[in-house]
Amino acid sequence: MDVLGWLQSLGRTADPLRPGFQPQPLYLVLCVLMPVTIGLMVGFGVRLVERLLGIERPQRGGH
Amino acid sequence: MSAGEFILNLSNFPWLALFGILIGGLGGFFGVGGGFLMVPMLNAVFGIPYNVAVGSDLGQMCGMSAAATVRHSRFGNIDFKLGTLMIAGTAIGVEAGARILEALKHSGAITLLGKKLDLMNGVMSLVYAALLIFLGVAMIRESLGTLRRTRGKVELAVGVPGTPAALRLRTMRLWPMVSLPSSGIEAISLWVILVVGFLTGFLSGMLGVGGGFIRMPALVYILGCPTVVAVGTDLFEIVFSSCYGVLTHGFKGNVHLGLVLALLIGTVVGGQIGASYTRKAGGPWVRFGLGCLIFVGVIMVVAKLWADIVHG
Repeated sequence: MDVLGWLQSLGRTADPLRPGFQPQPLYLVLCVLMPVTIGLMVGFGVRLVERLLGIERPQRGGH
Repeated sequence: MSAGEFILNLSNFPWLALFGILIGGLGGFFGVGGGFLMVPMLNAVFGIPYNVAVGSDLGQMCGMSAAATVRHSRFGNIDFKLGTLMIAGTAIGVEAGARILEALKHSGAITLLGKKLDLMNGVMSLVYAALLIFLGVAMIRESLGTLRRTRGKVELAVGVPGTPAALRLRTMRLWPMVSLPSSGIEAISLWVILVVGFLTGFLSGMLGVGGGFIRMPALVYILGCPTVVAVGTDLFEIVFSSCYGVLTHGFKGNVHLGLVLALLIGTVVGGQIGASYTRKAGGPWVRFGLGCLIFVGVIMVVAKLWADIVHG
């Protein structure tokens, strides 16, 4: 399956500002999964870097 | 060129990412999410309708909050029980907010000064202008007060927070009661948690805002969470509320994936840059600066609304 080609065609056609736009279920799943996946990758990446650099948990204050 | 064609044109992708860096940088510098600036500015600068700006902003919030939650979980700053209990109230609030926005989207136009004005545009611009003025005034007053009190001294941390009304809510004995050991709360009514979740979810669903300046203070001042736990739990909750918001707004055709990705890339980079510079500025001055910046946002929102009225 040509995933890249499919993503490119999605980029060209998925325009919610076009009159009559009907979102497909796969489009909705992608709208949630793509940002969350990018966020998790960034989060775990930063966490790994912090661990490698030896950055420890900061002191927990009260309020 | 329509707003939709502007986003779909890949050569404009860097401009949207740059905008994301700017808003993300300001958010990181001032320690806020930036949603209350992102949505009105997307409308005022790029002409993106409010419904798509709110839906797509929630999309980038999914990514930003997921990244921040991973980091906060490492430091043990998340009360998972509180966050999970709150999700039910938040989901209902997000749905209610999204439905009101959807009703506004289909409500057509009104005639003002002899010109036609889209009702959603008018109502959302006025709500945002009122919200931003309230926030700006509160922030400038608080920061000036702190600067006067701490002149020549180091700013001290606030003690155990809570107004008498908040303390009454916190100690209200309305069944079922739950205990939150991670937050140091012995017993609190589940209804208080659900209502806080609903109200913040409503703002999130309708305006795409509410995490940093509504839910986090509510967790501290109403529920009595320690600040670090409130920040971590708020972010954990935002992951679920924004994902639900994307789904419900997505069904209504309000989420633009290209816009989501451009903003997310920008805010991830900008957030890191802003956060690294914030240590160099004093706390009250940072809040005073944000208060002044918010008024620039008010001027832009009102100017765009005025232009829409004049040009019909």
